[in-house]
Amino acid sequence: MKKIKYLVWLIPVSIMMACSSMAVDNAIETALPSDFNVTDYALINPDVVSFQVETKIKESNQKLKDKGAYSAADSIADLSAFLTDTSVIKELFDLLGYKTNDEAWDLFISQADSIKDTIKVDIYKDFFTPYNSLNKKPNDDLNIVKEELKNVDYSLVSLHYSMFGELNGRAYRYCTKDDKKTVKQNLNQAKVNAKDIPDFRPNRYCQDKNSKINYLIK
Amino acid sequence: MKLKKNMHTMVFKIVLLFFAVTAFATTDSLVQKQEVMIQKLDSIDNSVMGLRLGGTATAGFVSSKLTSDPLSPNSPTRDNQAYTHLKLRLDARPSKETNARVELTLHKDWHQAQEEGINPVIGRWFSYDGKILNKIVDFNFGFLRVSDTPLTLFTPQSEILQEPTIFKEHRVDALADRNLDTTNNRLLQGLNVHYNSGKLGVLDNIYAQATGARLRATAKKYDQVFFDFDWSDRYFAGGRTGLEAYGAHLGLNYVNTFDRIRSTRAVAGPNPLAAYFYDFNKVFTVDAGFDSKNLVSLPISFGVDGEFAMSNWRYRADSLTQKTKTHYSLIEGISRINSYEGESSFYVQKTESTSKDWKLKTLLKEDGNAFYVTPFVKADLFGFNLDLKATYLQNDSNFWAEMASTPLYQRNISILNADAFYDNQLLDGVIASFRSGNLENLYFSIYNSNVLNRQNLMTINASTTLESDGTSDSRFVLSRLYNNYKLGHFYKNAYNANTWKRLEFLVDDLDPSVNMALPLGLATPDRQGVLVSLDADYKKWFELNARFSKIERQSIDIDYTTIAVGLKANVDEIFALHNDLNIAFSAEEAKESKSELKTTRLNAGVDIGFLSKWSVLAGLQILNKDFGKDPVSFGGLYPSPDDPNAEVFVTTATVQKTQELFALGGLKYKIAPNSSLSLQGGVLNNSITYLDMIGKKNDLDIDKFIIMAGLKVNF
Repeated sequence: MKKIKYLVWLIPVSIMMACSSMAVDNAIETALPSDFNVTDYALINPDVVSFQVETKIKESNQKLKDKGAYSAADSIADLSAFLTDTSVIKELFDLLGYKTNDEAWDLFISQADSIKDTIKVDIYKDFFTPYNSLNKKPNDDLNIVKEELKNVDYSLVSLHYSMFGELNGRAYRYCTKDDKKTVKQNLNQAKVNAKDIPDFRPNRYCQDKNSKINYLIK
Repeated sequence: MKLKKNMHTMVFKIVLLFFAVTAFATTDSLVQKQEVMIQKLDSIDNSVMGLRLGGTATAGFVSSKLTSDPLSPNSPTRDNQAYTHLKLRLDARPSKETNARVELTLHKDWHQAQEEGINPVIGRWFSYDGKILNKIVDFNFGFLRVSDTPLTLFTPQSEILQEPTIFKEHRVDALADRNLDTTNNRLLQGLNVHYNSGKLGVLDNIYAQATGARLRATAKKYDQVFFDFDWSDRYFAGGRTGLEAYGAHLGLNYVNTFDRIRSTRAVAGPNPLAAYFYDFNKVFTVDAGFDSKNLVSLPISFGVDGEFAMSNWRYRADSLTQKTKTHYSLIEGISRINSYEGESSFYVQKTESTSKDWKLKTLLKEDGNAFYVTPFVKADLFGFNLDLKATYLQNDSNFWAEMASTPLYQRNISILNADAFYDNQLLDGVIASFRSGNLENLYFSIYNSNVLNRQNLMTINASTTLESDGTSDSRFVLSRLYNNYKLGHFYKNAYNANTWKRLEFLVDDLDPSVNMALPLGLATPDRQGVLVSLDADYKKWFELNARFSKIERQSIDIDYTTIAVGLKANVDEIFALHNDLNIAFSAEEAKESKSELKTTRLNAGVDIGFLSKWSVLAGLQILNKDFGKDPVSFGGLYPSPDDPNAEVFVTTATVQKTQELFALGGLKYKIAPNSSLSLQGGVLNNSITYLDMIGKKNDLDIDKFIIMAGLKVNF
């Protein structure tokens, strides 16, 4: 009898477990806002897309390195050829979604140079290195990125919003006229949770298409 | 103490013997009196605790001489069996309510006496049975014979009206070799518990029964002695409950036969088969009935029995398949959307892992209904005894009740002169199919104990599965291993207690000479029709049996008509003779409408007793099969006359008719009840009418002259 009592608490748990779905697809559907649009989310947050490209390239480079076919010196030469091919790098910058207007590239270069001068961090190198495929010519590197962009898994992009983007206060759509009232204030609108990660929930944000400024959705 | 108790029993037996003799002296023949006595004495013995030994010992000789035109000149023509066969029954009674029974068989084959050497005993029956808790609960554990209802758990039997006594004895013996009997009970190995409440208020009885058993599933074990337990074995679980009141009864019955999935998976090992196939069958039925005899006792009684069944059948395949699991996780990365310098952010990473997982797929599923209703009238007036029954049945084509349908007579095998070989290539197929016949299969059984060596142990034609390379050594090198005391007990016997799975059941394989219309009894799928049966007698002087059935097979629009009549005159009853004297006759015809397949069976039998212990028994049975418009064709591939490199199929023989005849007569001396000395002789003919390659009509005769002698002692 004692044992039975002890096990009684299991009944509601097992009922809940029996009724809840374990499928991931359902989790996405329920967690996303009703006006969520994955294309807009990808345009507003190009890093979510480019991360997938980076990962693919990193994996194939790693495979090449594991085979031992490529020495460290070779890879440095390969990278410098890539980084110095300005036309390729410029196109890549556009492809990755950072080009907002004609001045963007000049701005990036000037920022990169100034940082490099002040704190000795080579943003330019850091920015583009992940897109260099080893043992490929710069033009091929670009083609690989183009190819990988076509193969982007948009279910993972959606999942990013529900798993992290919402918490991170990422804008998920473009703003309408009514939205643009409160500008997103970094951290002031967020709680900080136990792991020191800012949590913007339940606030949700949109982005102005032209100014790239994020607003709080009321 | 024990002696005193035995003395008491003895005295009681003697007193009872006197009473019994005086009670039955005037009415029954001596044989019947003796049998009643034996039963009475047995029932006394049955309540005595301790160990009891009984059984039968048979010394026998069977010789069959074969003559047939196409027989090879080198072929053996005489099949001799000389044996001593002992069936030992041990009953141990630990209490008055329960009984443990072990039956052992000892078989000495005198033809192989030298090779056999020391002969081991084999166990053929193990059971623990009892009537416990004030006799309201019966139980059986181990070997058991049970039946529930005709659509759940049942054994359909083949009925031969007024079968001559001499034949029936042989049939019962052949069945007994397989632990089978002539009842509708099914032979199982498991546990059976049966509760009967007895009278409870207005209710006459409430009953509940549960049965569980392990079934043998695979064809490879049909007659193989080894590796008896296999994970592919099937299991059976059944239960029923019901109540009886006011002469009526109502019952609910359920049976479930299934394969063991998890245990098969567990032992499948790292390299399982591509797929394991499973067969699941469940049947739920409601049965009801009424008998006016249970309400009021009148010379005329009437009633009705009926059952409605729903079956569920699934055929599934289980296979180990590669399964991919997807995992989503967040990993850290650099985001440069807010500043080109970058800041830490998190991204979704998808990783996949593969694992092998069992997947059960349903390949076929069928649900069907079946029902029958049997009104009946029984009368006992002016010396006339009458029992008239009519059954209407309607079974869907997708109805399947595995445990109720498989008959005991399953296939045609060669029993007598199985070692004979024929020398006519054109008739190979005909001889393979017709070298024995229905009559040989119904009435004969051969029991051999063979020394096991590599040739008869798991042998497939010439090659043996035990050897890895047949070319490197003589294939017969291990033949000399014979004398290792391992004897295989083999039967040549057409009866079998196996149950068929639905897909194992093929109508074409069934012998149409037995139950053509309802080969699987009342549970035969795809049948609709009426059966009428009449059994009557006048003062036990004359007996009359009549059967008629018209059964339709809905799905392919054919119907079966069966007519049978049996007559018996018990001359000993008419003239109140002390010795048996009766003569019996029967005729049966079964027809199928589309192919005009027709079987006719005629029986004549006579039992003559004289000098109180002697009797002459004789029987004649003729079975004709006419295949009508659908004759059985045999042929093979032969070189084409146009192209010597090509082969064409040529029909070498088309069997139109077969005529089987079995005549057997014998003399029997009765030593004691169930103990006798007998000498029998007869002929078994099988005449096959076929068209040869050029369409000319021919007859192939296979004749066997049989002599049998035997001494049977019951103890």
